[in-house]
Amino acid sequence: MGQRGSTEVLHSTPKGQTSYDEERALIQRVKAGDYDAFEAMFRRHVAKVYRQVFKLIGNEAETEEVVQDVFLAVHEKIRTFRGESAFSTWLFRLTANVALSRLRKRKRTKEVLLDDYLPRFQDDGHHEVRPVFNWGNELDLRLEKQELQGLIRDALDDLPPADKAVIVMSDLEGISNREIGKSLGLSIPAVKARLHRARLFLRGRLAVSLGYSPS
Amino acid sequence: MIRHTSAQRPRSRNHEITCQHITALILDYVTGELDPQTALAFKAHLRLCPDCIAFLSTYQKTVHAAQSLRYESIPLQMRRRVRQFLRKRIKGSPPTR
Repeated sequence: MGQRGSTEVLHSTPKGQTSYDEERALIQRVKAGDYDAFEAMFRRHVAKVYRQVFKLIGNEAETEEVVQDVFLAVHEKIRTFRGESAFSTWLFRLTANVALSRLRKRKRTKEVLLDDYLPRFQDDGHHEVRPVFNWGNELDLRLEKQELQGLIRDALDDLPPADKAVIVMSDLEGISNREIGKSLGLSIPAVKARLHRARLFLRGRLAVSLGYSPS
Repeated sequence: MIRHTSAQRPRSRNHEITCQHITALILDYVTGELDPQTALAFKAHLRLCPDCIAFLSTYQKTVHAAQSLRYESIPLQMRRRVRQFLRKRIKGSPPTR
């Protein structure tokens, strides 16, 4: 599985006009109700929005609906964009929140207890199950790439929405903890706590898939 | 969050960090955010604890595996459907092409 290049085409710009100026001009036109400008904005950003949403939502049908919702929200809320941050940042935050709202509305068909996959410790602070095996190299040796990716995606789907959003934004998107906190309305310590718990859960799921204890 | 009881309170620096503490500190360790004193204690524990070395390795491997996930670009048909949907919803008319 690989990423294909974007098929979007940017309009040519007057000589000397930077991409930043171009974007600002586009935003002003959209704010003024210019639908062609809105479509240009859609073409420019839809590929990135799609990838961001799909990483959170995990299936194409719902992703399509969420992408629609994101751009409807862009059209509705563009007047609130004041330029204090880059437009891409504003759009990223908007997308994260629309996707998170969708995740929260999902009915969870099975209850996965996070604690079942988190490490456990004895009263003296040692790992409950010893020795702890280093199964890291076995991931590549025993699992096909697609199988491993499927396992990770399934595990991510079993996380609570906010935990999933944090780990996707951090480890799949490479977003800083500070920006994740701003996007999701969390303090940095809260982001780190959720990230750590999500990673430990993911680790536990991988351990179990290889026949090891998550502890 | 790791709470110390009076029974667990360390008597010396060498016994300050347990495997449970190490697990709680791993995120800050891999990003280099531990304060120098805690980082020293963390590394000192690792030198003596094969369980934590193994745990750290599997933690890092997990993060790396997640970072390696690959995703496709938006399918062309979906892009067209979304564009048509937006035009219909916002403008109330289909695109001319």
